[in-house]
Amino acid sequence: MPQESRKTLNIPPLYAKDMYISRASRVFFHIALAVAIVSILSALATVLGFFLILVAWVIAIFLILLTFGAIIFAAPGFFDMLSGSDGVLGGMFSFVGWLWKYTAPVALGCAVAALVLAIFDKRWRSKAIIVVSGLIIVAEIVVIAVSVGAGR
Amino acid sequence: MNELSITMRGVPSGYVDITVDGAPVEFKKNEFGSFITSYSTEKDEVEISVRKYNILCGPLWLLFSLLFFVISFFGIFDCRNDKLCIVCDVKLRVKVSGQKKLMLSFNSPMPKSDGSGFGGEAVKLETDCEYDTDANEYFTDTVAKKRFKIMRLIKILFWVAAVVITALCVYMYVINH
Repeated sequence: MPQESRKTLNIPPLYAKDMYISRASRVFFHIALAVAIVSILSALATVLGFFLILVAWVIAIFLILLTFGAIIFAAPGFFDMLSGSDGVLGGMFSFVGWLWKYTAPVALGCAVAALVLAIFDKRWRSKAIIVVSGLIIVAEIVVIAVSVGAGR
Repeated sequence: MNELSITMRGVPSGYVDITVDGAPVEFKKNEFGSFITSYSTEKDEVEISVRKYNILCGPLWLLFSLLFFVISFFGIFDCRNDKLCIVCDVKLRVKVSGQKKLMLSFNSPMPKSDGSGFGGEAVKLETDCEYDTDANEYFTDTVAKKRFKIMRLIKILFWVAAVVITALCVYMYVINH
């Protein structure tokens, strides 16, 4: 066929259906990946934050025990600053806790959608999408379980 | 039984559809990044087709483009469309008798001398069997290019509308509080 006569390469309807499924799978995968990163990081920040508070408490108590006279004056202020809801870290933790609570189900839903669509995508199936979506689903179930367990 | 060993090098990325006798075949990737498969048939002639499509040429393209744009948070998480809209069409009829080999090496699309998009021969063939070429070319899909421009305009309008609506919401919130 002469090159000048070519205008377009029409997609047969059957291929188009596969193409749209493949595209949808990739779009949901991108969303799941981005939201999962936010969700897992916020969950880790919260858990590690509480861990750091625990370490800070242990160090504080150790220091306070060393300096008997400081128990009455230093301890209450120090504890309030770290763990009080109006404290420096309180606001940050409430925001991270909020982020964790709402992003985890979104990431889980998108990862499930990406996985299901990738399974139906017969022509351009990506193993990477299937594997990573599966990992996101497992990670998000853990995050949601920890979140529910922590009463958030 | 005739057997044709097919090797493809430098297959373009995107929605490439490879069929042998009208049916999709599974290729394996070797250590050099080439795709290889072995096709057995009773027939003396095998039809090989390699086509790279542009998603904007599908049915209901506007509906699906808008749907993906909205779902992907205004295109942030969407797959990028090929703005050059280069498609590839290769169709070969290869005569097979016994065990034969066929290697398809994909070329890069070349800009046309008159500046009207891209063109050129899509694949270079190396084979020990006879073949007829029905199509072997890259070309700029003019319909896809036109639709790409329409979609770009629609996306800009959506973004402007989103910014205006957000600004109005913030303004109303500030006024009320």
